[in-house]
Amino acid sequence: MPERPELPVVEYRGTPSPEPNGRSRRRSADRPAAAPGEYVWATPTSGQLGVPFSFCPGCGASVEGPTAFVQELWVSQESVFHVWCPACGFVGNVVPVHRMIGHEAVEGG
Amino acid sequence: MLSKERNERLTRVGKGTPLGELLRRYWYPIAFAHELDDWPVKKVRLLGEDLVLYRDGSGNLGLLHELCPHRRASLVYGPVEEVGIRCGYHGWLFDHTGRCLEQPAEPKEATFKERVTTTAYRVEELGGMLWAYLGPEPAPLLPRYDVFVMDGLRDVGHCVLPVNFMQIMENAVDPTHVEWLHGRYFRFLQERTGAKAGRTFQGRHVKIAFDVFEHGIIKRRLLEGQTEEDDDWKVGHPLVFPYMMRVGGGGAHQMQIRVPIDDETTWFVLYTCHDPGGVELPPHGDRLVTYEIPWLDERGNHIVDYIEGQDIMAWVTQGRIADRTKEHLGKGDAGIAVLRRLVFENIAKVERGEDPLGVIRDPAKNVRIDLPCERNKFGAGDDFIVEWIEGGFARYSPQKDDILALYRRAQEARKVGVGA
Ligand code: FES
Ligand SMILES: [Fe+2]
Ligand SMILES: [Zn+2]
Repeated sequence: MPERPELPVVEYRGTPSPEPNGRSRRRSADRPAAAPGEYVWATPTSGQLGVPFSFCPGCGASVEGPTAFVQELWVSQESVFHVWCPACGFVGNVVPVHRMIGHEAVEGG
Repeated sequence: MLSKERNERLTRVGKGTPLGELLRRYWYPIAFAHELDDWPVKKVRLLGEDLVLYRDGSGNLGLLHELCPHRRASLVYGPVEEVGIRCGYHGWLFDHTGRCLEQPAEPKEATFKERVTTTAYRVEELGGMLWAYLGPEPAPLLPRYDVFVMDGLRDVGHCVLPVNFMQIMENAVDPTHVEWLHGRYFRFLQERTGAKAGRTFQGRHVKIAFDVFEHGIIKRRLLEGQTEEDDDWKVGHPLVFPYMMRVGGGGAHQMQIRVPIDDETTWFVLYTCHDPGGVELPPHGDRLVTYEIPWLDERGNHIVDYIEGQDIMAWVTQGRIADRTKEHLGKGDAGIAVLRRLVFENIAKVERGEDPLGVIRDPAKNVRIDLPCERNKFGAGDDFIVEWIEGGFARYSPQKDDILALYRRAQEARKVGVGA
Protein backbone atom coordinates (compact mmCIF):
# COMPACT_ATOMS: atom_id res chain seq x y z
CA MET A 1 0.00 0.00 0.00
CA PRO A 2 1.44 3.43 -0.89
CA GLU A 3 2.44 5.70 1.99
CA ARG A 4 -0.10 8.40 2.73
CA PRO A 5 1.27 11.94 2.76
CA GLU A 6 1.66 13.61 6.15
CA LEU A 7 -1.03 16.09 7.08
CA PRO A 8 0.10 19.63 7.70
CA VAL A 9 -0.28 20.53 11.37
CA VAL A 10 -1.71 24.00 11.62
CA GLU A 11 -1.65 25.75 14.95
CA TYR A 12 -4.53 27.82 16.23
CA ARG A 13 -4.17 31.58 16.25
CA GLY A 14 -5.10 33.53 19.34
CA THR A 15 -7.08 36.42 17.90
CA PRO A 16 -10.14 36.40 15.64
CA SER A 17 -9.47 37.86 12.25
CA PRO A 18 -11.97 39.98 10.33
CA GLU A 19 -14.09 38.46 7.61
CA PRO A 20 -13.33 39.64 4.07
CA ASN A 21 -16.33 41.98 4.27
CA GLY A 22 -14.92 43.62 7.37
CA ARG A 23 -17.37 42.11 9.90
CA SER A 24 -15.76 40.24 12.72
CA ARG A 25 -16.47 36.51 12.81
CA ARG A 26 -18.93 35.32 15.39
CA ARG A 27 -17.17 32.79 17.53
CA SER A 28 -17.22 31.68 21.11
CA ALA A 29 -14.44 33.16 23.20
CA ASP A 30 -12.93 29.80 24.08
CA ARG A 31 -12.28 28.80 20.49
CA PRO A 32 -9.87 31.08 18.72
CA ALA A 33 -10.20 31.38 14.97
CA ALA A 34 -7.68 30.59 12.32
CA ALA A 35 -6.64 33.28 9.93
CA PRO A 36 -8.56 33.31 6.64
CA GLY A 37 -7.31 30.65 4.30
CA GLU A 38 -5.86 28.53 7.05
CA TYR A 39 -7.30 25.22 7.99
CA VAL A 40 -8.53 24.64 11.49
CA TRP A 41 -7.68 21.03 12.05
CA ALA A 42 -7.72 19.04 15.18
CA THR A 43 -4.92 16.62 14.46
CA PRO A 44 -3.49 13.69 16.36
CA THR A 45 -0.44 15.80 17.14
CA SER A 46 -1.98 19.16 17.85
CA GLY A 47 -3.75 17.77 20.93
CA GLN A 48 -6.49 20.31 20.31
CA LEU A 49 -10.20 19.87 20.43
CA GLY A 50 -11.33 22.06 17.59
CA VAL A 51 -14.50 22.20 15.57
CA PRO A 52 -13.85 24.23 12.42
CA PHE A 53 -17.37 25.61 12.12
CA SER A 54 -19.80 27.34 14.43
CA PHE A 55 -23.16 27.05 12.70
CA CYS A 56 -25.56 24.37 11.55
CA PRO A 57 -25.31 23.64 7.81
CA GLY A 58 -29.07 23.11 7.77
CA CYS A 59 -30.43 26.24 9.42
CA GLY A 60 -27.51 28.42 10.48
CA ALA A 61 -28.18 28.19 14.22
CA SER A 62 -25.15 28.03 16.48
CA VAL A 63 -23.90 24.54 17.25
CA GLU A 64 -21.34 25.69 19.78
CA GLY A 65 -23.38 25.34 22.95
CA PRO A 66 -23.47 22.04 24.85
CA THR A 67 -27.06 21.33 23.80
CA ALA A 68 -25.95 20.76 20.20
CA PHE A 69 -24.05 17.58 19.46
CA VAL A 70 -20.76 17.69 17.59
CA GLN A 71 -18.60 14.59 17.74
CA GLU A 72 -15.28 14.35 16.00
CA LEU A 73 -14.21 11.09 14.39
CA TRP A 74 -11.00 10.46 12.50
CA VAL A 75 -11.54 8.57 9.31
CA SER A 76 -8.41 7.86 7.36
CA GLN A 77 -6.88 11.28 6.57
CA GLU A 78 -10.00 13.19 7.44
CA SER A 79 -11.73 14.59 10.48
CA VAL A 80 -15.44 13.88 10.32
CA PHE A 81 -17.74 15.90 12.55
CA HIS A 82 -21.00 14.14 13.31
CA VAL A 83 -23.53 16.88 13.98
CA TRP A 84 -27.01 17.12 15.40
CA CYS A 85 -28.58 20.57 15.52
CA PRO A 86 -31.18 21.11 18.25
CA ALA A 87 -32.73 24.03 16.36
CA CYS A 88 -33.70 22.21 13.15
CA GLY A 89 -32.90 18.54 13.82
CA PHE A 90 -30.24 18.33 11.12
CA VAL A 91 -28.18 15.14 11.38
CA GLY A 92 -25.11 14.82 9.23
CA ASN A 93 -21.38 14.63 8.90
CA VAL A 94 -19.32 17.72 8.17
CA VAL A 95 -15.99 16.91 6.58
CA PRO A 96 -13.51 19.73 6.00
CA VAL A 97 -11.57 19.01 2.83
CA HIS A 98 -7.92 19.94 2.66
CA ARG A 99 -7.17 17.78 -0.33
CA MET A 100 -9.60 16.21 -2.78
CA ILE A 101 -8.96 12.51 -3.09
CA GLY A 102 -10.64 10.60 -5.90
CA HIS A 103 -10.80 7.28 -4.20
CA GLU A 104 -9.15 5.47 -1.39
CA ALA A 105 -7.09 2.36 -2.04
CA VAL A 106 -8.87 -0.75 -0.85
CA GLU A 107 -6.80 -2.40 1.83
CA GLY A 108 -4.80 -5.26 0.40
CA GLY A 109 -6.24 -4.50 -3.04
CA MET B 1 -13.17 13.71 21.09
CA LEU B 2 -15.99 15.37 22.87
CA SER B 3 -15.92 18.68 24.72
CA LYS B 4 -15.90 18.64 28.52
CA GLU B 5 -19.36 20.24 28.67
CA ARG B 6 -20.81 17.61 26.36
CA ASN B 7 -19.15 14.82 28.33
CA GLU B 8 -20.88 16.11 31.46
CA ARG B 9 -24.19 16.31 29.63
CA LEU B 10 -23.74 12.73 28.43
CA THR B 11 -22.94 11.20 31.80
CA ARG B 12 -24.48 13.01 34.80
CA VAL B 13 -27.54 11.15 36.07
CA GLY B 14 -28.60 13.23 39.10
CA LYS B 15 -31.91 15.01 39.54
CA GLY B 16 -32.02 18.30 37.65
CA THR B 17 -29.25 17.42 35.19
CA PRO B 18 -30.26 17.15 31.50
CA LEU B 19 -29.51 13.41 31.30
CA GLY B 20 -30.92 12.83 34.79
CA GLU B 21 -34.25 14.27 33.66
CA LEU B 22 -34.23 12.09 30.52
CA LEU B 23 -33.42 8.96 32.54
CA ARG B 24 -36.29 9.72 34.93
CA ARG B 25 -38.73 8.90 32.11
CA TYR B 26 -37.95 5.17 32.34
CA TRP B 27 -38.47 2.30 34.81
CA TYR B 28 -35.46 0.59 36.43
CA PRO B 29 -35.04 -2.73 38.24
CA ILE B 30 -33.90 -2.07 41.81
CA ALA B 31 -34.11 -5.52 43.43
CA PHE B 32 -34.99 -9.15 42.88
CA ALA B 33 -38.45 -9.84 44.26
CA HIS B 34 -37.20 -12.69 46.45
CA GLU B 35 -34.89 -10.33 48.32
CA LEU B 36 -37.90 -8.90 50.14
CA ASP B 37 -39.05 -12.42 51.03
CA ASP B 38 -35.76 -12.92 52.82
CA TRP B 39 -35.86 -9.49 54.50
CA PRO B 40 -38.67 -6.98 53.87
CA VAL B 41 -36.51 -3.84 53.71
CA LYS B 42 -33.72 -2.96 51.30
CA LYS B 43 -31.56 0.11 50.92
CA VAL B 44 -31.55 1.23 47.30
CA ARG B 45 -29.65 3.91 45.43
CA LEU B 46 -30.90 4.89 41.98
CA LEU B 47 -29.96 7.85 39.78
CA GLY B 48 -28.09 9.34 42.72
CA GLU B 49 -31.09 9.18 45.09
CA ASP B 50 -30.92 7.25 48.37
CA LEU B 51 -34.12 5.29 48.92
CA VAL B 52 -35.68 2.60 51.07
CA LEU B 53 -37.60 -0.25 49.43
CA TYR B 54 -39.95 -2.39 51.52
CA ARG B 55 -42.96 -4.67 51.39
CA ASP B 56 -45.42 -4.19 54.24
CA GLY B 57 -47.71 -6.74 55.91
CA SER B 58 -50.50 -6.03 53.40
CA GLY B 59 -48.19 -6.64 50.45
CA ASN B 60 -47.80 -2.98 49.49
CA LEU B 61 -44.48 -2.22 47.85
CA GLY B 62 -43.04 1.09 49.02
CA LEU B 63 -40.10 3.11 47.77
CA LEU B 64 -39.44 6.17 49.92
CA HIS B 65 -36.71 8.71 50.40
CA GLU B 66 -34.27 6.92 52.70
CA LEU B 67 -34.14 9.54 55.44
CA CYS B 68 -37.06 10.17 57.79
CA PRO B 69 -38.41 13.71 57.49
CA HIS B 70 -38.49 13.96 61.31
CA ARG B 71 -34.80 14.18 62.18
CA ARG B 72 -33.41 12.34 59.19
CA ALA B 73 -32.48 8.93 60.49
CA SER B 74 -32.52 6.09 57.94
CA LEU B 75 -35.78 4.23 57.42
CA VAL B 76 -33.75 1.18 56.33
CA TYR B 77 -33.43 0.24 60.00
CA GLY B 78 -37.10 0.31 60.88
CA PRO B 79 -39.86 -2.29 61.26
CA VAL B 80 -42.46 -2.80 58.55
CA GLU B 81 -46.04 -2.80 59.85
CA GLU B 82 -49.33 -4.14 58.51
CA VAL B 83 -49.45 -0.86 56.56
CA GLY B 84 -46.25 1.07 55.99
CA ILE B 85 -42.77 1.29 57.41
CA ARG B 86 -41.88 2.83 60.75
CA CYS B 87 -38.78 4.87 61.46
CA GLY B 88 -36.67 2.98 63.95
CA TYR B 89 -35.68 6.17 65.81
CA HIS B 90 -38.95 7.70 67.11
CA GLY B 91 -41.54 5.54 65.43
CA TRP B 92 -43.03 7.81 62.77
CA LEU B 93 -44.99 5.61 60.37
CA PHE B 94 -45.22 6.16 56.58
CA ASP B 95 -47.24 4.41 53.91
CA HIS B 96 -46.18 3.67 50.32
CA THR B 97 -47.74 6.91 49.06
CA GLY B 98 -45.49 8.92 51.35
CA ARG B 99 -48.18 9.89 53.89
CA CYS B 100 -47.25 10.05 57.55
CA LEU B 101 -49.75 7.87 59.43
CA GLU B 102 -48.42 8.05 63.00
CA GLN B 103 -46.18 10.20 65.19
CA PRO B 104 -46.31 8.29 68.50
CA ALA B 105 -44.47 10.91 70.55
CA GLU B 106 -46.83 13.75 69.55
CA PRO B 107 -50.11 14.59 71.33
CA LYS B 108 -53.03 12.49 70.02
CA GLU B 109 -55.05 15.48 68.85
CA ALA B 110 -52.13 17.08 66.96
CA THR B 111 -52.53 17.51 63.21
CA PHE B 112 -48.77 17.72 62.72
CA LYS B 113 -48.68 14.41 60.84
CA GLU B 114 -51.13 15.67 58.21
CA ARG B 115 -48.60 18.33 57.33
CA VAL B 116 -45.71 15.89 56.84
CA THR B 117 -45.13 13.77 53.76
CA THR B 118 -42.07 12.08 52.35
CA THR B 119 -41.01 11.42 48.76
CA ALA B 120 -42.59 8.21 47.47
CA TYR B 121 -42.04 6.51 44.12
CA ARG B 122 -43.90 3.84 42.19
CA VAL B 123 -42.79 0.20 42.31
CA GLU B 124 -43.98 -2.68 40.14
CA GLU B 125 -42.98 -6.31 39.76
CA LEU B 126 -42.05 -7.93 36.46
CA GLY B 127 -40.03 -11.04 35.64
CA GLY B 128 -39.12 -11.64 39.26
CA MET B 129 -37.65 -8.16 39.64
CA LEU B 130 -38.95 -5.01 41.33
CA TRP B 131 -38.90 -1.92 39.15
CA ALA B 132 -39.01 1.74 40.14
CA TYR B 133 -40.13 4.90 38.38
CA LEU B 134 -38.68 8.18 39.66
CA GLY B 135 -40.13 10.55 37.07
CA PRO B 136 -43.08 12.86 36.70
CA GLU B 137 -46.68 11.67 36.49
CA PRO B 138 -48.38 10.26 34.57
CA ALA B 139 -45.94 7.35 34.69
CA PRO B 140 -45.48 5.42 31.44
CA LEU B 141 -46.03 1.65 31.35
CA LEU B 142 -43.34 -0.70 32.59
CA PRO B 143 -42.24 -2.24 29.28
CA ARG B 144 -42.89 -5.97 29.00
CA TYR B 145 -39.84 -6.88 26.91
CA ASP B 146 -39.83 -10.47 25.66
CA VAL B 147 -37.05 -11.73 27.95
CA PHE B 148 -38.97 -10.75 31.08
CA VAL B 149 -42.21 -12.47 30.13
CA MET B 150 -41.22 -15.52 28.07
CA ASP B 151 -40.99 -19.08 29.39
CA GLY B 152 -37.58 -20.50 30.05
CA LEU B 153 -34.96 -21.42 32.56
CA ARG B 154 -34.06 -18.11 34.20
CA ASP B 155 -30.53 -17.39 35.27
CA VAL B 156 -29.33 -14.01 36.45
CA GLY B 157 -25.73 -12.96 37.14
CA HIS B 158 -25.06 -9.49 38.48
CA CYS B 159 -22.54 -7.17 40.11
CA VAL B 160 -22.06 -3.53 41.06
CA LEU B 161 -19.35 -1.74 39.10
CA PRO B 162 -17.48 1.50 39.85
CA VAL B 163 -18.24 3.06 36.50
CA ASN B 164 -20.68 5.44 34.81
CA PHE B 165 -23.37 3.46 32.96
CA MET B 166 -22.80 5.31 29.66
CA GLN B 167 -19.43 3.60 29.22
CA ILE B 168 -21.20 0.25 29.36
CA MET B 169 -23.84 1.47 26.91
CA GLU B 170 -21.16 2.58 24.48
CA ASN B 171 -19.83 -0.98 24.57
CA ALA B 172 -23.26 -2.11 23.34
CA VAL B 173 -22.74 -0.28 20.04
CA ASP B 174 -19.13 -1.35 19.63
CA PRO B 175 -19.29 -4.59 17.61
CA THR B 176 -15.63 -4.79 16.66
CA HIS B 177 -14.40 -5.09 20.24
CA VAL B 178 -15.63 -8.70 20.18
CA GLU B 179 -12.92 -9.95 17.83
CA TRP B 180 -10.20 -8.18 19.83
CA LEU B 181 -11.21 -8.27 23.49
CA HIS B 182 -12.98 -11.64 23.36
CA GLY B 183 -10.97 -12.95 20.40
CA ARG B 184 -7.34 -11.92 20.22
CA TYR B 185 -6.86 -11.19 23.92
CA PHE B 186 -8.63 -14.39 24.92
CA ARG B 187 -6.35 -16.35 22.56
CA PHE B 188 -3.33 -14.60 24.06
CA LEU B 189 -4.45 -15.75 27.51
CA GLN B 190 -5.05 -19.25 26.22
CA GLU B 191 -1.52 -19.47 24.86
CA ARG B 192 -0.05 -18.56 28.26
CA THR B 193 -2.55 -19.84 30.82
CA GLY B 194 -5.14 -22.55 31.05
CA ALA B 195 -7.87 -20.13 29.85
CA LYS B 196 -10.09 -21.53 27.14
CA ALA B 197 -10.85 -19.04 24.39
CA GLY B 198 -14.09 -19.48 22.50
CA ARG B 199 -13.68 -20.13 18.81
CA THR B 200 -16.94 -18.43 17.94
CA PHE B 201 -15.73 -15.01 19.12
CA GLN B 202 -12.80 -14.87 16.73
CA GLY B 203 -14.55 -13.74 13.52
CA ARG B 204 -13.20 -10.68 11.66
CA HIS B 205 -15.64 -7.82 11.11
CA VAL B 206 -16.12 -6.82 7.50
CA LYS B 207 -18.75 -4.19 8.14
CA ILE B 208 -21.00 -2.85 10.88
CA ALA B 209 -24.21 -0.83 10.78
CA PHE B 210 -26.53 0.95 13.18
CA ASP B 211 -30.22 1.67 12.66
CA VAL B 212 -32.30 3.72 15.03
CA PHE B 213 -35.71 2.11 15.64
CA GLU B 214 -38.58 2.58 18.09
CA HIS B 215 -36.78 0.93 21.04
CA GLY B 216 -33.20 2.07 20.45
CA ILE B 217 -30.46 1.13 18.02
CA ILE B 218 -30.18 -2.10 16.04
CA LYS B 219 -26.59 -3.18 15.72
CA ARG B 220 -25.50 -5.31 12.77
CA ARG B 221 -22.24 -7.00 11.92
CA LEU B 222 -21.00 -8.87 8.88
CA LEU B 223 -18.15 -11.25 9.65
CA GLU B 224 -15.65 -12.69 7.23
CA GLY B 225 -17.27 -15.51 5.28
CA GLN B 226 -20.82 -14.29 5.99
CA THR B 227 -23.36 -12.77 3.64
CA GLU B 228 -26.03 -10.16 4.27
CA GLU B 229 -28.47 -13.06 4.67
CA ASP B 230 -26.79 -14.17 7.89
CA ASP B 231 -28.57 -13.42 11.17
CA ASP B 232 -25.77 -11.18 12.48
CA TRP B 233 -26.44 -8.75 9.65
CA LYS B 234 -30.03 -9.40 8.63
CA VAL B 235 -31.46 -9.45 12.17
CA GLY B 236 -28.76 -8.02 14.43
CA HIS B 237 -29.65 -7.13 17.98
CA PRO B 238 -30.65 -3.94 19.75
CA LEU B 239 -29.40 -1.51 22.28
CA VAL B 240 -32.63 -0.87 24.16
CA PHE B 241 -32.59 2.83 24.89
CA PRO B 242 -31.34 4.14 27.23
CA TYR B 243 -29.83 1.49 29.51
CA MET B 244 -30.26 -2.07 28.22
CA MET B 245 -29.09 -4.38 25.46
CA ARG B 246 -30.90 -7.44 24.12
CA VAL B 247 -28.58 -10.27 23.12
CA GLY B 248 -28.61 -14.00 22.80
CA GLY B 249 -28.36 -16.79 20.32
CA GLY B 250 -28.97 -20.50 20.04
CA GLY B 251 -31.89 -20.51 22.49
CA ALA B 252 -30.47 -18.09 25.05
CA HIS B 253 -32.35 -14.84 25.41
CA GLN B 254 -30.70 -12.16 27.45
CA MET B 255 -31.23 -8.61 28.55
CA GLN B 256 -28.08 -6.91 29.71
CA ILE B 257 -29.21 -4.27 32.15
CA ARG B 258 -27.05 -1.37 33.27
CA VAL B 259 -28.83 0.45 36.07
CA PRO B 260 -27.33 3.87 36.85
CA ILE B 261 -26.93 3.88 40.63
CA ASP B 262 -25.22 7.25 40.50
CA ASP B 263 -22.75 9.13 38.28
CA GLU B 264 -19.97 6.70 39.03
CA THR B 265 -21.67 3.41 39.90
CA THR B 266 -23.72 0.92 37.87
CA TRP B 267 -25.64 -2.24 38.75
CA PHE B 268 -24.86 -4.66 35.93
CA VAL B 269 -27.46 -7.41 35.53
CA LEU B 270 -27.32 -10.26 33.02
CA TYR B 271 -30.94 -11.43 32.94
CA THR B 272 -31.03 -14.62 30.91
CA CYS B 273 -33.82 -16.91 29.83
CA HIS B 274 -32.85 -20.26 28.33
CA ASP B 275 -35.28 -21.97 26.00
CA PRO B 276 -33.60 -24.02 23.28
CA GLY B 277 -37.00 -25.15 21.96
CA GLY B 278 -38.28 -28.67 21.34
CA VAL B 279 -37.79 -29.88 24.93
CA GLU B 280 -39.81 -29.54 28.06
CA LEU B 281 -38.41 -26.94 30.41
CA PRO B 282 -37.49 -28.10 33.91
CA PRO B 283 -39.94 -26.90 36.54
CA HIS B 284 -38.80 -23.76 38.28
CA GLY B 285 -40.13 -21.97 41.32
CA ASP B 286 -41.04 -18.32 41.62
CA ARG B 287 -37.60 -17.39 42.81
CA LEU B 288 -35.12 -16.26 40.21
CA VAL B 289 -31.76 -17.99 40.38
CA THR B 290 -29.43 -15.04 40.98
CA TYR B 291 -25.74 -14.88 41.82
CA GLU B 292 -22.98 -12.32 42.00
CA ILE B 293 -20.27 -12.55 39.38
CA PRO B 294 -16.74 -11.82 40.54
CA TRP B 295 -14.58 -9.47 38.50
CA LEU B 296 -11.55 -8.77 40.70
CA ASP B 297 -9.22 -11.45 42.05
CA GLU B 298 -7.82 -11.49 45.59
CA ARG B 299 -4.91 -9.30 44.50
CA GLY B 300 -7.20 -6.66 43.04
CA ASN B 301 -6.51 -7.52 39.40
CA HIS B 302 -9.31 -7.93 36.88
CA ILE B 303 -10.55 -11.45 36.22
CA VAL B 304 -10.26 -11.62 32.46
CA ASP B 305 -10.60 -15.28 31.57
CA TYR B 306 -14.32 -14.99 30.79
CA ILE B 307 -16.27 -12.80 28.38
CA GLU B 308 -18.02 -10.41 30.76
CA GLY B 309 -14.92 -10.14 32.96
CA GLN B 310 -13.08 -8.87 29.88
CA ASP B 311 -15.83 -6.34 29.17
CA ILE B 312 -15.83 -5.20 32.79
CA MET B 313 -12.06 -4.71 32.62
CA ALA B 314 -12.49 -2.41 29.61
CA TRP B 315 -15.32 -0.37 31.17
CA VAL B 316 -13.72 0.03 34.58
CA THR B 317 -10.22 0.85 33.34
CA GLN B 318 -11.66 3.71 31.26
CA GLY B 319 -12.15 5.50 34.58
CA ARG B 320 -15.25 6.11 36.68
CA ILE B 321 -16.33 8.68 34.11
CA ALA B 322 -14.23 8.35 30.97
CA ASP B 323 -12.48 11.57 29.95
CA ARG B 324 -13.88 11.86 26.45
CA THR B 325 -11.90 15.04 25.76
CA LYS B 326 -8.87 12.76 25.40
CA GLU B 327 -10.33 9.97 23.28
CA HIS B 328 -9.78 9.42 19.55
CA LEU B 329 -12.77 7.98 17.77
CA GLY B 330 -12.45 6.37 14.36
CA LYS B 331 -14.78 4.92 11.78
CA GLY B 332 -15.22 1.79 13.90
CA ASP B 333 -16.76 3.99 16.56
CA ALA B 334 -19.67 5.12 14.39
CA GLY B 335 -22.11 3.40 16.74
CA ILE B 336 -20.79 5.38 19.69
CA ALA B 337 -21.43 8.64 17.82
CA VAL B 338 -24.97 7.49 17.00
CA LEU B 339 -25.71 6.59 20.64
CA ARG B 340 -24.39 9.88 21.99
CA ARG B 341 -26.32 11.83 19.40
CA LEU B 342 -29.47 9.91 20.33
CA VAL B 343 -28.94 10.84 23.99
CA PHE B 344 -28.67 14.52 23.05
CA GLU B 345 -31.74 14.36 20.81
CA ASN B 346 -33.79 12.77 23.57
CA ILE B 347 -32.61 15.17 26.26
CA ALA B 348 -33.99 17.91 24.01
CA LYS B 349 -37.26 16.01 23.55
CA VAL B 350 -37.77 15.84 27.30
CA GLU B 351 -36.92 19.53 27.61
CA ARG B 352 -39.67 20.23 25.06
CA GLY B 353 -42.11 18.22 27.16
CA GLU B 354 -42.28 15.22 24.80
CA ASP B 355 -41.86 11.52 25.59
CA PRO B 356 -38.38 10.27 24.69
CA LEU B 357 -37.50 7.18 22.62
CA GLY B 358 -38.88 3.88 23.88
CA VAL B 359 -41.42 5.24 26.38
CA ILE B 360 -44.62 3.19 26.11
CA ARG B 361 -48.10 4.31 27.09
CA ASP B 362 -50.37 2.13 24.96
CA PRO B 363 -51.27 -1.12 26.79
CA ALA B 364 -52.03 -2.81 23.46
CA LYS B 365 -48.37 -2.34 22.51
CA ASN B 366 -47.16 -3.66 25.83
CA VAL B 367 -48.56 -7.19 25.99
CA ARG B 368 -45.18 -8.60 25.00
CA ILE B 369 -42.52 -6.57 23.20
CA ASP B 370 -40.55 -8.87 20.95
CA LEU B 371 -37.17 -7.38 20.17
CA PRO B 372 -35.18 -8.39 17.09
CA CYS B 373 -32.28 -10.67 18.01
CA GLU B 374 -30.15 -13.02 15.93
CA ARG B 375 -30.50 -16.70 16.70
CA ASN B 376 -27.61 -18.17 14.73
CA LYS B 377 -25.05 -15.99 16.53
CA PHE B 378 -21.71 -15.50 14.74
CA GLY B 379 -22.93 -18.21 12.35
CA ALA B 380 -21.70 -20.69 14.97
CA GLY B 381 -24.84 -22.80 15.44
CA ASP B 382 -24.87 -24.98 18.57
CA ASP B 383 -21.22 -24.27 19.39
CA PHE B 384 -22.07 -20.73 20.36
CA ILE B 385 -24.16 -21.56 23.37
CA VAL B 386 -21.70 -24.00 24.93
CA GLU B 387 -18.80 -21.56 24.54
CA TRP B 388 -21.02 -18.76 25.81
CA ILE B 389 -21.83 -20.66 29.00
CA GLU B 390 -18.39 -22.15 29.64
CA GLY B 391 -16.52 -18.98 28.72
CA GLY B 392 -18.99 -16.47 30.09
CA PHE B 393 -20.53 -15.37 33.39
CA ALA B 394 -22.82 -18.43 33.53
CA ARG B 395 -19.85 -20.51 34.57
CA TYR B 396 -20.52 -19.01 38.02
CA SER B 397 -24.17 -20.07 37.96
CA PRO B 398 -25.28 -22.54 40.65
CA GLN B 399 -27.42 -24.21 37.95
CA LYS B 400 -24.80 -24.28 35.19
CA ASP B 401 -25.00 -28.06 34.78
CA ASP B 402 -28.79 -27.93 34.46
CA ILE B 403 -28.50 -25.29 31.74
CA LEU B 404 -25.95 -27.29 29.74
CA ALA B 405 -28.05 -30.44 30.16
CA LEU B 406 -31.07 -28.56 28.78
CA TYR B 407 -29.18 -27.67 25.59
CA ARG B 408 -27.83 -31.21 25.26
CA ARG B 409 -31.35 -32.61 25.47
CA ALA B 410 -32.49 -30.12 22.85
CA GLN B 411 -29.66 -31.08 20.51
CA GLU B 412 -30.47 -34.76 20.89
CA ALA B 413 -34.15 -34.11 20.31
CA ARG B 414 -33.29 -32.26 17.11
CA LYS B 415 -31.15 -35.13 15.86
CA VAL B 416 -33.96 -37.58 16.52
CA GLY B 417 -36.35 -35.18 14.83
CA VAL B 418 -34.20 -34.98 11.71
CA GLY B 419 -33.79 -38.77 11.53
CA ALA B 420 -37.48 -39.43 11.93
S1 FES C 1 -7.82 0.08 21.31
FE1 FES C 1 -9.74 0.80 21.95
S2 FES C 1 -9.42 1.42 23.96
FE2 FES C 1 -7.48 0.85 23.30
FE1 LIG D 1 -17.97 -7.61 24.99
ZN1 LIG E 1 -30.00 23.53 12.27
